[in-house]
Amino acid sequence: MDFSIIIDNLPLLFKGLGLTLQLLIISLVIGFFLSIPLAIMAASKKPWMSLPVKIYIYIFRGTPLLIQVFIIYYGFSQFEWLRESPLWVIFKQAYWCAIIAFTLNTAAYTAEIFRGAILQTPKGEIEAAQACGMSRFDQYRHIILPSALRRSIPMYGNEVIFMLHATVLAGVITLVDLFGAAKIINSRYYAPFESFISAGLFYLVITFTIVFIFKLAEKHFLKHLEQ
Amino acid sequence: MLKVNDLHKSFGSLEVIKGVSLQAKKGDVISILGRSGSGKSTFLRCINFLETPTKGTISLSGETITVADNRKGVSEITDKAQVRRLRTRMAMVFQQFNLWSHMTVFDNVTIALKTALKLPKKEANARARKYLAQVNMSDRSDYYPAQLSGGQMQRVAIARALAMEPDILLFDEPTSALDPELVEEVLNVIKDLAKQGRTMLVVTHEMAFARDVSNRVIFFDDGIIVEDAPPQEAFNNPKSDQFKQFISKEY
Repeated sequence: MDFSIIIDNLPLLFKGLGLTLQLLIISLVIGFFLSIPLAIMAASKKPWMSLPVKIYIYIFRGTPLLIQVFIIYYGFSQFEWLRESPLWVIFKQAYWCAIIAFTLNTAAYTAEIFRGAILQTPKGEIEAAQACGMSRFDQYRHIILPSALRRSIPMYGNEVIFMLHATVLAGVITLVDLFGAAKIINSRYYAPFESFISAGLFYLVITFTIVFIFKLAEKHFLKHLEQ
Repeated sequence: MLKVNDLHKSFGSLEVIKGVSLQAKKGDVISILGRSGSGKSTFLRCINFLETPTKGTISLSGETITVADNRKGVSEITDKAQVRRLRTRMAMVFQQFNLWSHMTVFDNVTIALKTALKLPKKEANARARKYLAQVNMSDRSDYYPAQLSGGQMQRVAIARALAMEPDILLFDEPTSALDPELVEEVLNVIKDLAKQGRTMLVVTHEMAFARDVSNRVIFFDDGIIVEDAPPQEAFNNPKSDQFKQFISKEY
């Protein structure tokens, strides 16, 4: 174990950490806001509303994220019309391809979590809202979603941790995230143990931070369930 | 004030309400009795359209709602905004309280005022304070429903209904889910409301309440009203065999 390799390369690792967090936060934020309308649609009783979303969820949960990343980054570039369209600015960059893949993936998983929670809303609470003359929109805004999202917090915490660990795939498509940085250190010094252990420690610290944040969130948002 | 005309309700091929008409005047306290499965709860739920009647009309203070069959032949509300408007004028109290579990007691009372009635925050808060005081729950304003007893939850649910300042209150077996020792506190609140002259329809199994508090007793049997009289008359001299049998079993 040669600690000097790790210490010398700390700046590179911290740069990688920066990119990892950036990819994680951007895709989680966009994915979260996409997942709410998707979950409402997926929970709908009308098939024309729920079916397209269910197919989307099925595809993104049913295939490995690595394959989704490869299709978006390597696969799309084989279409000439895309290379010639203005969209190419986005799709030629590994950074945006990673964000698109991560966002679509987390949106699918999160929508599925929220869909389940929406369907579990006690029927009586919805009836009470109807009986007061609340509109469908107000029912979602004040009754169904606040209650469903709160109940989803523990499950969503898991999704955030999975997503953190999934961001290593950015390192596979040329990006220098934490994993990418570890790969560079390894190839420079042939020190797989030092490089990947130090990257692993970084992931461990982020994971514990996420767990801690979600514990606080549960304490705050789920206090209504305490007897 | 409330007028129900020839109401029918079927679930699939099973007809549970077979043509019921009912008129309630302002200040009426009507107890609706009947065995389970007689259709009395479904009738109440049809009045504020939690169940869509198969046929019939419902009017409140001159505004009438009619249901019509849609293309698939299923009865449907034609004017949803009108139903929402009518619902704000007939508040419902449920057997299972149905408080919103993620909201404090105070928010449970104000939220419909702010959304459905579009009252300004200040006015909504003032109403909440007033009606929570009326049901003796002011000191529990910041509690969540899970922290309350069943009787307390039902009193909050009554405050929530009262805060709408509706024309009529609908009670769907308000004490049936309560432990026996908690029934009294809720019944007392409802009795007070009756004394204040509020118009109420109360589906109940509390015979003493029906006899002593209401001014009219209705007995449902197999989807129709078979007894409809002031309580003294209904209990002392029932016209229908079904009600005669029902009260002889109860006592």
